[in-house]
Amino acid sequence: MSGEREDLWQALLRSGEGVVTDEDYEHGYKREVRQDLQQYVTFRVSGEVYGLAIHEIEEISKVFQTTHVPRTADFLLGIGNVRGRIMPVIDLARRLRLRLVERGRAARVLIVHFNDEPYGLVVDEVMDVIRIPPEAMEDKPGGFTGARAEYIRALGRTGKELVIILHLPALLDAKDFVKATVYEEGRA
Amino acid sequence: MTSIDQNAAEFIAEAQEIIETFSRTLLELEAQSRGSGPEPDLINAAFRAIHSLKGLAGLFGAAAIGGLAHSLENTLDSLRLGKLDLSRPVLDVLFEAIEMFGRLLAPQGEEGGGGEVDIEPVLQRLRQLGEREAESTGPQDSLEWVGENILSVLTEYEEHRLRENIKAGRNLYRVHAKFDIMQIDVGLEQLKDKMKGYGEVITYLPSADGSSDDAIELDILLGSKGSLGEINGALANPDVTVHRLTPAGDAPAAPQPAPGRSAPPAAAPKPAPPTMSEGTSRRAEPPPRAGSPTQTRTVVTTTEEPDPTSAASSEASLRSLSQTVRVDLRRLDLLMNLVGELGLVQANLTGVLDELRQIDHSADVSRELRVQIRDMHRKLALLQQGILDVRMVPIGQVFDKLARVVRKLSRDLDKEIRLVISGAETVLDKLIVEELSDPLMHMIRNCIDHGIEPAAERVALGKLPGGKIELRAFQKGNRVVIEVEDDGRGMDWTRIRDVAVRRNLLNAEEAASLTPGEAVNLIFQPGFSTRDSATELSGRGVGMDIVKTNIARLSGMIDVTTDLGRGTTFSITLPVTLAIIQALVIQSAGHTFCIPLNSVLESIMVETREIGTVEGHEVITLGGRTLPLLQLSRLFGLKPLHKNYRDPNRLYVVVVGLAQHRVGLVVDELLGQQDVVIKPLGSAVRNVPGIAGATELGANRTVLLLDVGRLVDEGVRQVDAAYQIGGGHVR
Repeated sequence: MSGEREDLWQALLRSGEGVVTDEDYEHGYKREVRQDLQQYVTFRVSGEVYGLAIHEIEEISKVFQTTHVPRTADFLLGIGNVRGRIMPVIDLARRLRLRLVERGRAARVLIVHFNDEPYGLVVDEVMDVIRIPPEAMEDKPGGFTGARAEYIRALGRTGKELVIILHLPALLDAKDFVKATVYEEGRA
Repeated sequence: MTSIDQNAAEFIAEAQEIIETFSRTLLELEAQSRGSGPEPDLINAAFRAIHSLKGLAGLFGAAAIGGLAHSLENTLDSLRLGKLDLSRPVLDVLFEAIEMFGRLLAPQGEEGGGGEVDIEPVLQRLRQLGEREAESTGPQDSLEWVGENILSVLTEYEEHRLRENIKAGRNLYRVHAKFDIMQIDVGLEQLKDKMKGYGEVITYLPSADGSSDDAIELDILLGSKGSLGEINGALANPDVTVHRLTPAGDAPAAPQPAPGRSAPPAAAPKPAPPTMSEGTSRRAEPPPRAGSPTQTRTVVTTTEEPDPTSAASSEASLRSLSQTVRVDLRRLDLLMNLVGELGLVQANLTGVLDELRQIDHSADVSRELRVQIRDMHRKLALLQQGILDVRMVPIGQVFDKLARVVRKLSRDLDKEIRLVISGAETVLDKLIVEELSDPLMHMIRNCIDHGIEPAAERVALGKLPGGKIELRAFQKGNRVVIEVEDDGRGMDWTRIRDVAVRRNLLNAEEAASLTPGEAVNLIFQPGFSTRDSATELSGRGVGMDIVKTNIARLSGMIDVTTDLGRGTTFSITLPVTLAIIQALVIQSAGHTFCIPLNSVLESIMVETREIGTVEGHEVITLGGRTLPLLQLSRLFGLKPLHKNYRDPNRLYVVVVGLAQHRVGLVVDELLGQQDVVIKPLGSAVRNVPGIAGATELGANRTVLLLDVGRLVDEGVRQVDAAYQIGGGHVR
């Protein structure tokens, strides 16, 4: 049961907020056998595998153009515009203070929803949608004490793989976005 | 989770709407209680509003609000049953309850909000009113002459109204009407409207007669000053008969069937008013039942066209409220975004059209396409306007709140103040209206606190003892002007100037060349408004810098004119909407930005040799004044691409300013003016200083909008600091 893989788009479509297909009406609610299996989207950032709960992700988009916003932290690539909606776009590698690698064609922007606002998270590659039963989740990982610990919500295990589940509220904390030294600039 | 939030939001919105209605009704009632006496319909409307609030609170489990509403309902019930008079103390408690509702509904965590509001004092006072009422009820007249069959079915309220009508010396009529069953609603409404011109409809009773299958007969009890002849003439209708009820006791037990148009019986002389055992009537005659709230209030309406609602009764206006649909502003933003995108699609189509034109043989097709695109353009513009219109709300919403503030403050400070409101129907973007209430509240407070003199002082000056504050709103082009005018003591510009010098807001030289107008505007300077200067200046100017900042955030401007001894006028100019503004598009270090055009004074070309420095800060002299220059690229820490100015000795300077402060922004390029749709930045980027929002220019390009107020402040602060160090001379 663990490690059950599905087509990403199918899964997104099914769990997606308010997206109902004809199939849903026909087969309705009989599809799920176990109800408590949380689905996660996994993705790669600087060689490591991370995950976010599928309901936190609204859409996966190709990398789009962003506009630089002055006086903001370096992890903020800028603001982007997806079908008329303005959103901050974050370089996850910089945010997690990981070694920076060249992004290739597989790079994507995960558009997540947090506090009713959209944010874009740039990742190197989107991998899968996986299901992890609650018992395979390890809350408050003890081993992680570094600077990144606050961004981690839990560790998930699917068979042999280990997925770092990210904690959006810490990742998207508004107070980190504005550069602290703004007031010093322009005076030089 | 979100559904609970949504429910709560829904509840708050609905409750607020009800409370606003209630508050409006109370203000009207207060005006009436000073004049001709309260109108029963209005008291009823107030009662109904609170009643529905109680129901609503019960539905959402808001215990405190429900409890307060319940007590209020009791008080209002006593009021409408005449057990309690609408006196000032009663009104005070009722207004206090409104404030209490406001606090109960305030979101948790906000100032003055949260669940720790203590409603007990208000409940206590409401109970005291209830006790007082018990004493005021006296013995009641017998009403037997009206007829047992009628009396027995009257509600307590109806019976009360019946007694009030008799007390007021009105004649009592029983109007028997027959309606076609299919049209009873229309017919009854028409009849009611007609009768309202003559008196008060006390009740409708189903007729005792056996009605036929296709008709319904009603008995309507009407209290009127008119004679039977007048009533009969007014209601002229073959299906309506009118009988007069008199204390003499000839109440007909069974009315005759309708005999066509009944001529006034000869045996109907001008009847003597029914005897009144209580002697004088406590109440004055209810006023003529004319029209909408805006007419009965002390409100001067400036619209030339008659208000369409003015013909309807206050009950009808209450109904129209519930016909509105509440829409989350975010949904409108979404629609607005879609329209913006359609605009881009249209631009692309135009591009395709241009390509098509290159090809000779498709001339017909391309002509057709051009026609279609032009049509689409027009419709899109209409659609955009339509959505903007939906966001518009009358500023009267805020004025109503201010009327309460005036009332409360004038009571607290024992000053009699008349608030004259005009232009309450002027519409503004909902967002702006919301944001306006605090600044306006502040200004009104200043007016009452410090502007309007105490009555004795006013009389000594030959003014009327009561002060007057005028709140005006009107549209001027695509802007809305709001004026707050008082007839108080005004401001002394020389004293303002002296205080400003003492506070180091300007030096002696500058002070000497200051015009009165400029001096008065110094009250908007941060740092001017401290407490001790406030007392020196009769308190004027408390926190006016905050008012200015709030207004500036709405892309508005505030101005003040004052006439010493005669009064002060503040005037706020605002854009009608924040959703679309005109912007100047500029470029700096390869980045494109927009500057709201309403804060741009001029764009000039400056030669580098004109630039001087004050303590290392670049300034130029423009029109005799020193203008600090701000390099936008340096301010924003942008790396200049490379020196590719066409002429290295010339700079583009955009002179921006809000109210009194001006700076010159040095930019690389001026790209032109454009109407832009402003989109809010999310909470993550919202607090970046100097950035106010984002917008979309063609080709899906996102461009930042500068927060001019903030940048000006930064620039002025730098130069001010330099002045203080260096003695302030421009080299």
